[in-house]
Amino acid sequence: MIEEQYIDLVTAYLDGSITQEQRVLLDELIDEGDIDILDIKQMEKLYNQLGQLQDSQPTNQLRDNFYAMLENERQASQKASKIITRLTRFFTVRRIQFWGAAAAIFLVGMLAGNLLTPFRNYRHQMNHLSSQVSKMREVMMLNLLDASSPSDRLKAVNISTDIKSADDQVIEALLKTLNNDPNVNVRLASIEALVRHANNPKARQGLVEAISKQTSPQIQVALADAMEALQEKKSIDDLEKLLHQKQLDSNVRDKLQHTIAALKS
Amino acid sequence: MLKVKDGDLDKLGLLFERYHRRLYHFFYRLTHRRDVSEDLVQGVFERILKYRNTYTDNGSFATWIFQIARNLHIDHYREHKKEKQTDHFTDWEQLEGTNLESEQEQQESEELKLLQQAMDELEDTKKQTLILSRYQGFKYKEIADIMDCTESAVKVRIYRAIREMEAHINKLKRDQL
Repeated sequence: MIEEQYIDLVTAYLDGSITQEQRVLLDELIDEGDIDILDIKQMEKLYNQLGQLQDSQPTNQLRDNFYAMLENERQASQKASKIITRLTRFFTVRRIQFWGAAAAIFLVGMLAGNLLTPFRNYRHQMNHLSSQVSKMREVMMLNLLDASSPSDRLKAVNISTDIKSADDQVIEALLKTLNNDPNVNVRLASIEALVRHANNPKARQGLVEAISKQTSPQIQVALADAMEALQEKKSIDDLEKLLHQKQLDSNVRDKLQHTIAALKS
Repeated sequence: MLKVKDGDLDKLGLLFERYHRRLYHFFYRLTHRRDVSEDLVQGVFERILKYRNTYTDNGSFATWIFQIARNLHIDHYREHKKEKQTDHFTDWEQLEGTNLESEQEQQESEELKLLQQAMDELEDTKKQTLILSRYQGFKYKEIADIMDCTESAVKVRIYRAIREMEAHINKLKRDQL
């Protein structure tokens, strides 16, 4: 048996890559009996016999499969190449600048929108809530004005002063109170309330028309004060008519004269 | 291969024509299955396409492609471990069916049969090493690169493979007596 220390020599001999020096060394080892020549020839025979073992050849199917795969890959590669080309065209410097600017504007818009939206919502909710409260006040006021108790009706009139933008229904209710309520204090309060809503033409007109209908000196003086405060010159005729009434209280007369003079000046 | 790497896929056809038979023989010696061997050859070229960007011009292309082939065979062996990888399919009928006129021819045929059986009994690494050396004509240094081991280890594997085959053939001969 050949010792494994001579493997380099043996394997070189087997595959034919043995050098001249190795050949000399191998011959020496054979001569000296360190390597059995029959042993190495037996190995050589077996190594050579391997070449006679049955082999096989590939079928045409292998070639067909390969070229089909190659074609698929080529098509896939061309598609990828087209996409890259389109992307490259799309992302030219000018287009990048354009789309960059567009994206920046869009982002700023989004940001501003996001920042302002909560406030807008908050404001909207507040307005809605305020409107709801006004409606509730209005309903409460209208109900209380029909109450039998003067204090309730007084409350109703006071509530009306809290309604910022009173609608015609409120104004009409206040004017009705002014002209028909049996209680002087309620009527006085209604004058005060109507003055607060003097930006409504119906309120002003109602106050002017009420001058001729009122008989209570307190109300007459309050109306005269209101006309003076509102600088309502349309009331001069009604005030003068009232002034000519014979049963008029002297204090009222003085007040009316003063007011008419103030309005005419 | 560098042209394939640069996208010139047509050049892979040239590589196929140059290497597919060698690869087929390598796989066939290991598996004795024509269909499996053809699939594995196809697999080698699929991997070349897939990993073409990793190719570097450092070593020989033949070494690189057989590294792929060897790894593919290892993967195939793992996937089909439960099956008998080398099914010892040898078309002995074909051999025996031929008209063996002389006693000498019959004896040679018998010897080849035993040789094939002995080779099939080899452990996979030794068999691959022997095939790369005896059939593919690679030098020991190249085989070392393909098998990712030292040149000395390659020589030891060759030596031991032949010794084991001798021993196995002798045992088979004894069993026949």
